[in-house]
Amino acid sequence: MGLRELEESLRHLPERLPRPPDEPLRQWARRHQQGGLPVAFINVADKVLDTARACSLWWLQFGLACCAIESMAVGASRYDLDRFGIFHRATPRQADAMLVAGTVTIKMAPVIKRLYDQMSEPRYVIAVGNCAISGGRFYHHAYSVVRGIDRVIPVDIYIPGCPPRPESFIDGLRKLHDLIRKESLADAPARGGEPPEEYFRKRELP
Amino acid sequence: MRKQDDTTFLALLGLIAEGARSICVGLHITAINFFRPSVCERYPRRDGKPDWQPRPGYRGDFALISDAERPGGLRCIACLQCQNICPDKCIHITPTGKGKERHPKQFLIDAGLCMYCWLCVEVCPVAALTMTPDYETSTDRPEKLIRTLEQLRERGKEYPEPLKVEMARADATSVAPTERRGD
Amino acid sequence: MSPIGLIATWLRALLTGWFRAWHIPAVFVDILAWIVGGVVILLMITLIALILIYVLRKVAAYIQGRIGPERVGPYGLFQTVMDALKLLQKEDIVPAGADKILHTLGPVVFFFVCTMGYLVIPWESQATIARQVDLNIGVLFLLAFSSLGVIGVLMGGWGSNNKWSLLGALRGAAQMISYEIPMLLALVCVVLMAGSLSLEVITEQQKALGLLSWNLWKPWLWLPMILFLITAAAEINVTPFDIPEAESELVAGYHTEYSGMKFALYFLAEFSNNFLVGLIFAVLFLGGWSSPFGHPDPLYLPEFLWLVGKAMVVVLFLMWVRWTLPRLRVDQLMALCWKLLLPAAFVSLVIVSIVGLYL
Repeated sequence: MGLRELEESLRHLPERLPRPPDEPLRQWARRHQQGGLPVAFINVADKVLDTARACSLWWLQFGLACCAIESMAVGASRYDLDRFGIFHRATPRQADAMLVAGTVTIKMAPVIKRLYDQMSEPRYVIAVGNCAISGGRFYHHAYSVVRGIDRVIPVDIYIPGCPPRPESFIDGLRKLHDLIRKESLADAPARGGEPPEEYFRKRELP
Repeated sequence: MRKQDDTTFLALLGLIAEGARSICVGLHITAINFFRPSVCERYPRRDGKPDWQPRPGYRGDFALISDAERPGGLRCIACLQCQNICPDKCIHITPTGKGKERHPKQFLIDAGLCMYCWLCVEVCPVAALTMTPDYETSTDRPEKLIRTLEQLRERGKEYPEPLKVEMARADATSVAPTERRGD
Repeated sequence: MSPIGLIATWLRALLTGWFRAWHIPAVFVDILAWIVGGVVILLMITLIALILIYVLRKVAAYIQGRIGPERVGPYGLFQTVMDALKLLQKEDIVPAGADKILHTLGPVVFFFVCTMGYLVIPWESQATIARQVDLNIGVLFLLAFSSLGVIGVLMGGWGSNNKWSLLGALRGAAQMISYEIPMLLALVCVVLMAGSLSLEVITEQQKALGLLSWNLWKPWLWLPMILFLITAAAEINVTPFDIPEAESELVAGYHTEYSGMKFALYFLAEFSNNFLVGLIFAVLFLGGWSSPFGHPDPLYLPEFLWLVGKAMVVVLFLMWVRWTLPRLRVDQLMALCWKLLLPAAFVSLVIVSIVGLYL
């Protein structure tokens, strides 16, 4: 099947159970955002919980192509990711972040979507390498490549490079830490179910 | 255990001894490695020492070299050679001006599409485009990865000369071994 | 010096006096003592797991030439706390079609079983938690509860509605059940020499001359010692015996479908089991709470510190082995148990019986 059929099919995968109703804590936080003692509590809770999530990011051990070799190198001795508490887990249930590293083919895209659906909230996606950002060198003329993983799942951080340097990797993860630290209990619930339309982005230069 | 269990008792003892010896050799190696200094480059460093700097010729982010005398302030003459040769078609130039005054009005490079092959730098007749050792380029929106004329000009001010790639010499033997770091 | 025993005795006397003055039946003192003991054990297990996880990551890192956690707090000391806080926030997923009761109770049962072993360890000369009921069958108690650990693993695997979890759980169950037999025989050797199943009596016999009276130095107990170490390592699923949770084989084995706090409970139970094996080895072979300098300890250190120190040495040794050896395949695992360790266990039993007759 072609790219258009793939995109249509991926929008309606019935893999995920309906998202449970919003947690009472978040509802309470949203109601009491204005001022007073609850706001102080919400701020402290935000800081503590966001720091915990950022300092202990477990990523899904899952690699596609050359950028996967680079991500293995980043986890190895010379550029150690365990220094930041970042640790690989084999199962999506226990992983916080999915590093999509490498070229995404049409055959693999439904698998990636299923893995993303199986991850437990709160979850983040990092697109590593130009093939995952936009199809990269395969954007023109390749019949089997999905032009960018953000046509399939919503992406939080893009790390360009072909492949990116390990230091570039770590810099991208630090930007993810900054993103995580800005989240709050009073925000809308983390993304669940189908991604909104704006994530299915068509790639055109002006 | 082997499929044919016809080992004698003494041979079995020998196997066990051999196994124990190999385990002890392994434990010895691990123990020695525990006390060796780590090879980790602690990027980003917090102890004041400088971070790792790429060697000259590292293909990082793009820059356009400045030239104060030309219109547009850049060496670029908008000849569109880089746009034509790019295998990923990630460069888009809108030229303006006539003759010697030709310069780019808009110069877009998509750093999320490029494969860093260096062909655009090689083919430029005036050495206007270069790749810098900037590697910290991750963003949260892919649109921010499209480099515009202004961003390229800014980065070009830091790197006034194109950085040359050193081709490997024909008599090069091997990469120099990395010394273990003492931290 | 035995601070825990002294404090416990003093508290007990205090409470007995108060309860008698307030006309409350004396059995409530016992109940209160049990509750307090239970809470203390749970807190201690949490603390130990926190420390052990950090130590494991650092030791693994230094052996592999890198640095472990270093950015979270000074020298990375707060890493496990952050891990626990993060696991609290994760969504709790029960797979569709899974047996909800089994899925939820699996980690609970496993944790319960791993915790029960701490009741019979003699922490000091007067402070076994289960001293109330005067448990003189300590070794049997430990073996019984380590057998029950299999149930926790199987519940996790079956309740996940996932064939690879089930495979991991079945392999784990087979491994744990098979390795209990050589472990039992090795422990029987020690019990034969000591003449009692009670861990307190075994420790008391090793305190006389300090270092020299430990069971470490008796050559007829060396084979049981090595056997116990290997089989206990197999019980707690450390490499080279971690086929139930092997990442490259079965995603994550029996805890594939667990997220959030349930997974944290499995994790905690594993590390508490790890430390429990260290404690048992210290009690049986390294003299328990007795100091190496003789029974009235000339340094006046608290006795439980000696025990915990010895257990940590054993745990560190197991970590050292963990990061050295590759994983055994499941058929190699079973062959090792039934074809090598079990005959070796019988041989050791014969040796110890003969020595026991003439010594």
